[in-house]
Amino acid sequence: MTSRPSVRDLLRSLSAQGLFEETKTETASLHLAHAQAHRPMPVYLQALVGAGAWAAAICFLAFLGISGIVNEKTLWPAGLVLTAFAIALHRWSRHVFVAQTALALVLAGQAMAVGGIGETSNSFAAATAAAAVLAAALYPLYPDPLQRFLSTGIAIGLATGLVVERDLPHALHALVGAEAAAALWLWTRPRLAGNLRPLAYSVAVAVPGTLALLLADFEFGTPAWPSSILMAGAMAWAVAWAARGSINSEPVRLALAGAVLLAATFAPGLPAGVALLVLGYARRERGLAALGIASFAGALVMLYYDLGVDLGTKSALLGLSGLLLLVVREVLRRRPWARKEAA
Amino acid sequence: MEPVQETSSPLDRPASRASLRELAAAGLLSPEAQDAALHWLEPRRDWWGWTSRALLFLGAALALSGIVFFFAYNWAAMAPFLKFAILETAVLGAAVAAWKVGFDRLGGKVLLLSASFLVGVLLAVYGQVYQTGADAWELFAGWAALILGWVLVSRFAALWIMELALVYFAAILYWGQVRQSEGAGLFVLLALLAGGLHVAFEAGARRGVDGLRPAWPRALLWTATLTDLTIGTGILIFDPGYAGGAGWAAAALLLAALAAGYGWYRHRAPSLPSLTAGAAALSTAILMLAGRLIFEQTFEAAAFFAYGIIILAVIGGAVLGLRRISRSMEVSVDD
Repeated sequence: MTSRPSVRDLLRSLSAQGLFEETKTETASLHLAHAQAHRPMPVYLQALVGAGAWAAAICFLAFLGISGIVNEKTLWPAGLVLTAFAIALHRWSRHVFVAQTALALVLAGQAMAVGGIGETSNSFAAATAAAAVLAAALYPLYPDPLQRFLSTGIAIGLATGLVVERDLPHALHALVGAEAAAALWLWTRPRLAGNLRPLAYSVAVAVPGTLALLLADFEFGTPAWPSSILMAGAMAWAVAWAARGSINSEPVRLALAGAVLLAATFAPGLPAGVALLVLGYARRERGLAALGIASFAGALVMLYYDLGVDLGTKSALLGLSGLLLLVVREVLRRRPWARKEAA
Repeated sequence: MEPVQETSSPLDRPASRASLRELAAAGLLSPEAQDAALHWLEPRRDWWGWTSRALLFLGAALALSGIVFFFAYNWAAMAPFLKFAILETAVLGAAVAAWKVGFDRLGGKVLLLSASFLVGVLLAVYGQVYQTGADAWELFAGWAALILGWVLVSRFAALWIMELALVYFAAILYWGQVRQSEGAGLFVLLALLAGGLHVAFEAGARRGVDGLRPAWPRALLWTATLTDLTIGTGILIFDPGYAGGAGWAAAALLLAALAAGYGWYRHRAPSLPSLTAGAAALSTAILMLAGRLIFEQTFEAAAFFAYGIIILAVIGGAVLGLRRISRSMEVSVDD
């Protein structure tokens, strides 16, 4: 069970320090009771809701497509009407059934509007712009974390697709740089507002996603080094932020040297993974930390396949890298600051 | 799985970042008070401990991968005697080092995990040198049997999960290579393996056995058990003839596991994530049944509309029930 102090104990402690008026304890209780009833669902429940809404949205799209109620020309207006109806439904009631139905409808509506605009204009750029405008408009209009995460994620995904469609491989570096900058700006804010968290997660997921696309064997014809430098910079930023700006200590200098070393591998997913891991650990965001681990592991696998050397050399590189890390750990353990922290 | 407990007043529930944010948003906590509370709630991050663990796990994983690829590559050039000598020395060295370091320390646990991993490499090299003609399932079964003693003394959840994965591989390969049977029987067998280990883990965690306290292995085992049983039930729903009696056994076991899981995770060891996994399994089974009944009749537009409504009703019902349960629990989840 938990070892955390209760809210009551915490308020008493703050009161003793002159940071809370004890007479407001009952008011705090009422606020908490109200807030907890409206608190966003835990992520695993949101995942269940999201999976159900996606499946239902696909069924509704199939229904509209097979029935012939909408055609190519009426697809996007119908999508906008459906989106507007979903917004009204969401605002009308927060009951689970209504919220679930509204989410399914808003997802179907967005898919219809974006797909319809792309179809009638015969332009991927128009579809991307529509997705971005819809995501921006829905962010304040449809205050649901899952919807916000999904719609911003879809808009970012389409923007990446546009870069590929226009055959601008070098622009992927600018895109991933912008995504990393946005993720760092959001996640290093002193207090990340609850309504910005879905956006912060969307851009964080986009970073390894875009890097995977950039490095996948699609013959984009762009070297990895620009993104490697950008991601090393992102890692340095994350480390410096976690160290609260004091970069003169030995461990921080070592971490910054590690960023440079990782940049030299030309596998930008490695410093990006470390950056996400550092942010996740510092902010106690398990989702972000898990994303960092997945990004790092994925980058290692891609690096392994891209090495272009025989299996014997690869085995030596892997084994020696592992031994190097273990030796580094042993050396660092003997440093005074590590002994002090361990104690 | 986050710890949960039944409480009444919101003031008596464990404080969390979310509750601090809510009090601050209501104007009841100043930024200074919020900072002071956070400082008390969340002690300073142990950056060195975290880095040290990351270096240990990553270093060990890379070094072991290097050994695997070395033996995969350097096959013809190296004499069998030398191969065995290197591997056996490595296995013994890792095991002795683990014993010296101590099984209760992370370094000892990782060394024992490495020794267990190298046993598999040794068996693979043995099979290649002597071309025994043994089926692949025997490699995994032998591997699992040889490391069982280490698994038992390690009290290391990751090693238990590795043991289960080996038994899973052995069972899957045995089913395909020896039994050559079809149907849902394999999933019942896998569910029994994962479920049995899950019960043992829950009992061990309840008794405070060191190494079994982390929630993630229990969550993984519970999810694996439910997934296997749901697949077995799905086979029964879509093709009862193919599923055979094992399909009915899967369905019965799924219902029994859900009932037992509800009782355990609702009252004895409250856990909303585990209840959510149960609700997801039940919803999936219901939706598979509904899908078969509807789409067996027609693939017309109305069928898709009806199925969409059913999905919303089933998942919505599950979420509604879970939220009602969660109101009587304080889940220590921030955001």
